[in-house]
Amino acid sequence: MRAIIVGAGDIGMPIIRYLSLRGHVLTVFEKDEERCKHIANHADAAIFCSSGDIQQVWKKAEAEKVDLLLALTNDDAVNSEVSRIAKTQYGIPFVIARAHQPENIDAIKEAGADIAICPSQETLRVFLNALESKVVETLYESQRLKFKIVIANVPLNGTVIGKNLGYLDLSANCEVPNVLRNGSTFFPDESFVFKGGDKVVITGSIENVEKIVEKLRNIEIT
Amino acid sequence: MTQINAESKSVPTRRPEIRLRRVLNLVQTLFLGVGTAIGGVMFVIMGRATELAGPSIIITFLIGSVFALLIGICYAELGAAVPSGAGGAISFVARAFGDSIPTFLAGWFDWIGSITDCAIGAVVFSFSVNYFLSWVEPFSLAVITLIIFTLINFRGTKTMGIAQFGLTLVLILTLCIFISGSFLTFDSSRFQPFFPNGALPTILLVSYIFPTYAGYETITQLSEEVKIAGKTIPRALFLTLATITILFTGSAIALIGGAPTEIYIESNTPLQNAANYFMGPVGGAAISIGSIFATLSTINGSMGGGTRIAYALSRRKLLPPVFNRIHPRYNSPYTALALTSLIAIVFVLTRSIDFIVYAITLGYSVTAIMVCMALIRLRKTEPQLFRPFKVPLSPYVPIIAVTALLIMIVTLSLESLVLGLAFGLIGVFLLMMARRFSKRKMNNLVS
Repeated sequence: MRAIIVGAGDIGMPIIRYLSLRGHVLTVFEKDEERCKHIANHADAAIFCSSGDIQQVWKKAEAEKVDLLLALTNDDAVNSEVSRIAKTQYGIPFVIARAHQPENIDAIKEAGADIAICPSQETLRVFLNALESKVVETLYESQRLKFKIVIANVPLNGTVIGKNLGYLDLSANCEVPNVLRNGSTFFPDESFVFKGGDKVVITGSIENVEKIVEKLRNIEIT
Repeated sequence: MTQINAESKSVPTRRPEIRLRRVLNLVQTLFLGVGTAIGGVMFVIMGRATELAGPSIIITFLIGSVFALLIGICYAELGAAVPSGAGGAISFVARAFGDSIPTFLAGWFDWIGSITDCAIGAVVFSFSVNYFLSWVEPFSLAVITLIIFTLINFRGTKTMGIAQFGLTLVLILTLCIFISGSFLTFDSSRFQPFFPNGALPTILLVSYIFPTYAGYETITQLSEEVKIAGKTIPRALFLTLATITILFTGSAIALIGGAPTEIYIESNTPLQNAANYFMGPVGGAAISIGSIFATLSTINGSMGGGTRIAYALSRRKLLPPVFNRIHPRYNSPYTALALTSLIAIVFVLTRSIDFIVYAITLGYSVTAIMVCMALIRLRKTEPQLFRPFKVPLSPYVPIIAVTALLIMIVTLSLESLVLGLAFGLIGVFLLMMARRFSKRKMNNLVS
């Protein structure tokens, strides 16, 4: 596969090395001379010391033969322009671009990127998930008996929401005796349906309880 | 996880292509250069050269090294910067001057040079074997040798690199034995007089010994198969030049200091005779083995290099497209390899390669001149192309290199010039024929 990577920074450089190790034919546009040197010392790529705004550079890179373009600069305007040139002028089949500001995602996609990824938005998502899924409280644990009682929160975007108790696939030595919801206690049966914010009491062997906790913490990612 | 899934989904590609693979590391690349550069010829010319220039032949080798360095740094800049540089010179020149006739000639001369190197290696090897085993018919053995190395090269660049490593290691070891062995009978008075025939032969002989340096160029011919080429190629080139300089001048010093002139001066096997003198028959035998390995490593390397030139010529439509195929399993350019070794075999069978040898120096020099010009031009036309290694004081260094090469061409023998011109004309004629043919074919397809 032939690929053009525009911008060899914190994301571009690891991608260049990843693709280079797999034997793909790479062309890199990078303005910074020091970074160019770094690429040359660690990967195989044709390197142009340019931000990709010069037509001649695209021609020399044989962009009309390229299969993939990654626009990864720190400047959304550049990423958008690069995506546009890639799609409209050279018909590059697969274009992935980085959006610095979440509000630029749509504009970059409109310009020609097949996928636009916003790192800060992605990071935020990871933080929120960590926050949401954190609350698991161990009420009792005995290594000798291999027994544990925990109370786990169902995250607001948990995959378990809307599913009934059967979904957890409880085994013989593990059960869910109680679920706390809005200050009242439920004794769930097979048809009990989970909601976001439920506090689920789980008892049983340590191993099985942890498996169920994992299932409850699972998050729907959109 | 929707977005991550979309990313790992296979990328839609325009047209799947099989390409050369990057398999050679720094050591393999270095040995490729050293092994190809030091050929059997070096074991033969030392006596004759010393007869003409006396001990000052050491200076000749040093001048040769400086010339090679001037040209080598130009190759280093381009080899590191130009992507898809298979074929070396041809790719650099094509990038600067397009798919024109000068580009074709650079590749053509380079190719003929590699093929001849390869054919000569096979012949010298066979005669060396014939010297020990007189019942062996040398020309048949030469053809068999070429076929064996064709198979090694067919098995892919990795196999070829491993073979080169082994062959060159033995070669370097025997030369080290030769150099250290000379200390047994070393006598510094043998360096007097230093210029027995004046300084002129010392300088004129540069063009005589220079083709032995040309092998380092093989490194750039295989640049598309070198790992982290931007870093490895300049390093491998300079290490190769340093290694061959040490081995050439070291051997010359050892030969002159270690043995009296009458031992080797009129011999075709000067190093063997000298080793015999200072280490006894075992030393002589060791050097004979070394010279045999030198020819084998040259066959292997120049066959690999020549193949890449044919491949690159074909990729630029300067040879029929059938020669740019890559073997799906071994990743070797097998059609270009078949063509290259076939021509080498034909050269061997004509039994008059020494005739062609005259043209090689001219061919290599013309190619090198084109490369230096390509460097100067690319600095202007592609300023954005990042050059991991940059020739200092450009354009003065390439201009000095071109001047040195022109001087070398002028001091060549008349046969070399005439033959070189003839080869150039043959090449252009063939290219014209091929272009006319393909144009006619296109017209037929259209109508």
